[in-house]
Amino acid sequence: MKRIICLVLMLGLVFGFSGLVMAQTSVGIALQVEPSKLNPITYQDTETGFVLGSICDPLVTLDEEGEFIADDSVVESFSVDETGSEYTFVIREGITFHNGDPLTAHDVKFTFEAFMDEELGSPHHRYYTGIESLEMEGDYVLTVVLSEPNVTFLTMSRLRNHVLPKDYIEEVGWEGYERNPIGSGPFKFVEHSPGNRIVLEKFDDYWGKKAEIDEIVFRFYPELSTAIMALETGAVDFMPEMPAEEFMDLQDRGAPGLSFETYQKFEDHRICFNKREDSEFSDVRVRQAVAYAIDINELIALTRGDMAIPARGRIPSFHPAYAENANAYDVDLDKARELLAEAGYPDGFKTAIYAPAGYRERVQEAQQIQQQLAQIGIQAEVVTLEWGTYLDVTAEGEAPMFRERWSAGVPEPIGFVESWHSESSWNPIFGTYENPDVDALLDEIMQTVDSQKRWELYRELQEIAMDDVADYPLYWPLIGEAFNEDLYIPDNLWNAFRRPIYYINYWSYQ
Amino acid sequence: MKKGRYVLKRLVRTIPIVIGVTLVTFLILHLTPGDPVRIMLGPYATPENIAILRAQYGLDQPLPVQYLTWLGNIARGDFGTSIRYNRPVTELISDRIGITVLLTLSGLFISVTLGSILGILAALKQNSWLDYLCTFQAMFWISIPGFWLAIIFLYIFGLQLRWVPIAGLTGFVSLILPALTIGLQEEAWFARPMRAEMLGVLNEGYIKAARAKGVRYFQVVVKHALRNVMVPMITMLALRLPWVIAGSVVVEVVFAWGGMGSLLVNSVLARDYPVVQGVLLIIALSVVAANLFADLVYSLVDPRIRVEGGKK
Repeated sequence: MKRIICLVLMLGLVFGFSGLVMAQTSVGIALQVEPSKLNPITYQDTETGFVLGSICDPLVTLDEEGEFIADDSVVESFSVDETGSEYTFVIREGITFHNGDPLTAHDVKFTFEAFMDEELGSPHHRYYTGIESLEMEGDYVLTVVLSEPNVTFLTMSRLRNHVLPKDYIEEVGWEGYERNPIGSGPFKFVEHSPGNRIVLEKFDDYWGKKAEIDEIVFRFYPELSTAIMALETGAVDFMPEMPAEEFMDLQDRGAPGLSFETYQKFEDHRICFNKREDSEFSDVRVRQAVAYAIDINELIALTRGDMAIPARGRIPSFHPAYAENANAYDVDLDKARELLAEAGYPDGFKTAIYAPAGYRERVQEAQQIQQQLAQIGIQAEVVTLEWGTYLDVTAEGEAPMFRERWSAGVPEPIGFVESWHSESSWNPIFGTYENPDVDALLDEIMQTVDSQKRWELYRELQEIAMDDVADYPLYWPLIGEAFNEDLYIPDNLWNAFRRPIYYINYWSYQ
Repeated sequence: MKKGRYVLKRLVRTIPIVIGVTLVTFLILHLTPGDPVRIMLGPYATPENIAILRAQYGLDQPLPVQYLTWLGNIARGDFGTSIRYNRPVTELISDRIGITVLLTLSGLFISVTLGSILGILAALKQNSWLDYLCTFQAMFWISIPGFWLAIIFLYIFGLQLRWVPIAGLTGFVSLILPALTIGLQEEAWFARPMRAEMLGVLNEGYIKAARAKGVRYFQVVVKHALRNVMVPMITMLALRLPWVIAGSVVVEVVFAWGGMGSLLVNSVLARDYPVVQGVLLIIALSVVAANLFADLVYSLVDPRIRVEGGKK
């Protein structure tokens, strides 16, 4: 008899649990890459950022126009002095980490120091080298003093949106933290089952907007078509950064049960040239010829349908620093041939265009560009290399032309243009480029606190660099997101400044 | 006693094989362009950042020194620490090896069972339509690329029919399709030899004698014929094991099972040397072990086969 009662109770439990699952309080998110280590300082894959974004709170946030605000962040207010070299953060009182420890300015200071620690090996380390000192005033005020003015500081150096628990990390160490990361965010870490999934659950004592979703399950789908099928069958509800081709396919056939949204990313796609002296592309006329020969609209139609905007300069058109007067080199084959002849290549020359093998559209576009360049006599071989090899070869100047993609930090568009500075560590990676006017403008931008004036400098900068064809921008991609139609995601998250994946606490089921 | 010595001898002989495997993988990995630290730090890295981390992971040492250090650590059971995951390699492998073993064994089980049954049927009904059908289906499955078969299965049974969830390893049901993909692909390797061996055995005099004695046909096949075809089948099993493991790498990725396969692929892409070397070492060891195991089982199945040095 007892056994029967036990059995009935167990069955009840089982059905009870499945009832909970049916009530849709869990959201499944498909990731193409499994986060390698949940370490906010050292991670390199964007997927890790997606997971940590729900666990940790940001230092400051952005509104949908790209203005810095304090909402949803650990600061109550922040200020910059008139020279742009002192940033003061007043930390909100009453925030606790998932283990119950209070969050104070000591934790913020600790996180800054972690990024500054060269031994830890953060890929963002270089953004923190300009910090002269971190000054505490009581437990809730921190002032960051820079050795020289830098108006881009908040864009590049706001701790990658993760304020970390000092005491906890000092106790368990970094490896311990990666196994069991805690933060002060709306969701807390439950488990990471290697190769399978990461589970987060709602943090009930969250200080800000409490989540309506009870649980987030990140699942890993290394094969893209499996991920798309998982989304279609409802095994997952959302897939960040779905490739354009798959998104358009789902949208065109009106896949049942899915909603569709698009927004413009803060990203550009371009051709980089090796401009070192031994390269044909050291001659500006050759680069201009290439620019005149490339038909951008044809490229976009081939790989992205209507999911991209042809570029003019590098900074995306929705940003106030967009340079509408920069030369976009509309297709003109005669002019291209003329420029080549002037440069001493009336019959063209043999060269190569490199693309990373894992990135389908970059390879397809490289092949299309190969055909377009053949029309002006440039015989470009398409070389596809696996990612690790590609990074090596392009950085060492062995690739005459390469098909690059660049995501910049929001909202200050410095990320798009800083590699043009002759002293930037990125300068050699993208084939070197030297123009004293460009250097002077970049130096001026860093010290111009007035944003309107700064946008003007960015425009001037892009016009010069486009005349030089420092790189040749192709397009700005639109990102399409297909997701469970029962999911409600507020409108003000659909933009490059906020992005839905970082604000799952605002999602709900309708 | 003799058997013990034989096993020991065989084990000693595997050492150069395993060292050879590690040396070749080490060389291939390190001679391929691409640097784990540059991949980890991405295009953001400065040369100084890269140099510091390279030193931290011992990658600034000359290659022979790196290899000998690694070998020395392995001898002490230390597989090193992953660059990409920042975890001990042994932990990464032990977290995922269960999934790969499960997939490999269930795939092998299906292929051996199905292959044997179809092979026997084809032999018993030689040159009938059943024989031709068995041949045809075996050729059909073996001709389809594994990743494509896996995607088609997912499309039909996951997306269209909704019989299985597309969410990685979630229970017994989710095991069926991946195991079937491997099983069907490998089945031909067992069906064809089974048919050929069976045909040979069925024409032997002792089978006729047994039949003449009045033993039932089914019993003749199972008791007399089957036992005699076990030796080539066990050989085949040991020979196919590396291929099944290789096949499960692909199948794992398509079905979103995070086993050793996905770990290996990710680690190769990230040039995570310690993990790649560790995983390949484990695979090499398992193949060597399977061959040794097959040799030992022969003598159990066929009393005529005695281990080296045994009584003739």
